[in-house]
Parts: sequence; structure tokens; C-alpha cells
Amino acid sequence: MSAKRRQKRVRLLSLAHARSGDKGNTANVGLIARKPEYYPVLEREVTVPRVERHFRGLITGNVERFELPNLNALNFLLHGALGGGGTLSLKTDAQGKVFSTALLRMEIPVPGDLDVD
Amino acid sequence: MGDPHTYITPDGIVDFTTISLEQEARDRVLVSGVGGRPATDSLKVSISYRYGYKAVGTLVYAWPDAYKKAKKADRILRERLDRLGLEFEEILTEFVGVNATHGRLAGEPDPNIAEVQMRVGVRAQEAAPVRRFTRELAPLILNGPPSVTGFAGGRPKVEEIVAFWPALIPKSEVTPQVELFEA
Repeated sequence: MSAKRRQKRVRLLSLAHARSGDKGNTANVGLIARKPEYYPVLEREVTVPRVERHFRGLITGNVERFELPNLNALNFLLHGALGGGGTLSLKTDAQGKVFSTALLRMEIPVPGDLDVD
Repeated sequence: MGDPHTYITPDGIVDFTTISLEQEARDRVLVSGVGGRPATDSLKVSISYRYGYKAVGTLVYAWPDAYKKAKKADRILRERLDRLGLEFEEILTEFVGVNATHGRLAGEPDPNIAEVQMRVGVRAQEAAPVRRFTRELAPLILNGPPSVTGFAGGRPKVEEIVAFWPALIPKSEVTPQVELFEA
């Protein structure tokens, strides 16, 4: 069996917690593995191009990613996410508080034998 | 949090990639090994400035066809604003219950959705077009799609925008002074 066929697709919600907030017009999303063994999968699969594609049309800027292997976490900056940010923004989520759960909607391929609840 | 290697605080720069967490006991976590670098030569200044006006108006449409009605109401409202020749920096429509928080990622709603809130915000440098906008919701209630509610609060209020300009100033320019007031 090929390596590809042994993979399955899983929603990030099953693999990670997320929290988010604002800095000006940038939303900041922290993604934290629910189990240490999920972290390498997140690091490999939740890439900048994939996150940019996920949020296409919802943000006007680019995405940056930082790794925190010590906390089994990734930190993303979504630029141009908040309609001007702060008091200028007309958005319900002007503070970017729920970009976290929007990221948890993403599906990624994981090894078929990865134990996911 | 931006770059976790460089979290700047007034007292020093924290490197979050050095933090070590350990479960010591139930409901007890040991945080150790936190590294960093000395503080920068700057202080942060939070400047506020006037930036035009905004208003946000909402109406709630109920089943049946709640989302269809809300979308139709938004189209009528925008056409009205257009015909009135009002100019805005931005007009933003969100449908609370459908797409206000996750946009297109939320997908299409259940056609039987119980209710949808249409939420329209406008922003302009001048107060006049924003004030005119706040008078355009009542006609929608009388002449637009039916089974609409949520307007007991009256016209939306026009808000003056006080915007935020974070800036840096060299520490050498600032002399701290401490005064104690006793009650």
C-alpha cells in the first residue's frame, strides 16, 4: 500500500486547541496540539500556503508562521484580517477572537495509524 | 503575540520558545527556563486620534426564508444608499447566524434557519452620510421583506471614531516622575 493511501483526513478541531486575538489589523492565532504526538503532524501539514488558502477572501494580507515546539504550538499572524482593526473596524469580530475556531475548521492529511478521538 | 522569540515588554524581551512546562501535580503546572534579552531603548506610546464616523444597524429576520429575506433587505438598503448618493469609506454587511464570524468557511446555512440578523456597518470621514444611513433602516421595516423585528432600540447611533496609533519614543526622552497621593 502506498504511503498516500495510508493517510486519512482529519479536522484540526480533533487535533488542536486554538486561541486568537488582535494586534492592529492583524489577527494572531495560536494553535496548540491536544497531544504531544500531534505536534509534528501540525508542523508538517498546517503550512503557510495552506493557511493562506484556507483564509482566502477573508484576509487581505499574507500569513506568517512561528514554531514553538517547546509548547507543542504554532503561532500564526493573519495580516489584514480585521477590517482596519480596533475602533475603525465595522466587523463583529473586530478583535479577531474567533479566527481561532475558523482555523480549526481546516482539514489536514494525517498518518492512517494516528490515534485521533 | 507576534514573533514568539521576541515578545517585547517594558521590562525585557521574552523568548517564548524557551519556556518549559511541567505537570507537577493535579492543577499545578511548573513554568521554568524562561529566557530573553534586555529591554529595548524605547517606550511604547499609545496615541489616539480622530478618524471620522461610523454606525452599525441591525434587523432580525425570522423563519421562513430568514436568510433570503435578510439578503434581500441588504440589497434594498444598499440601492437606497446608492440612489441617495451617499459616499462611505466602507459598507460592511454581515449575517449573524450565517457568516459574521467565519465568513464563507461556515458554508451555506440550513434553509430552515430560525432567524438571521442583518448587521450593516458604514464608515465615513464626514458625519452627514453616516447620520443619513441611520434613518434608512426604519423604511425597510415597513416596506421591505416581512417577519422582521429587533428594532425597538430605535435608530443606530452615530459614533465618532477615536482611532489608535501605537508609536515608540526613545527612553532618553522620558523622565519618570512618581507622586504619591494619600487619601
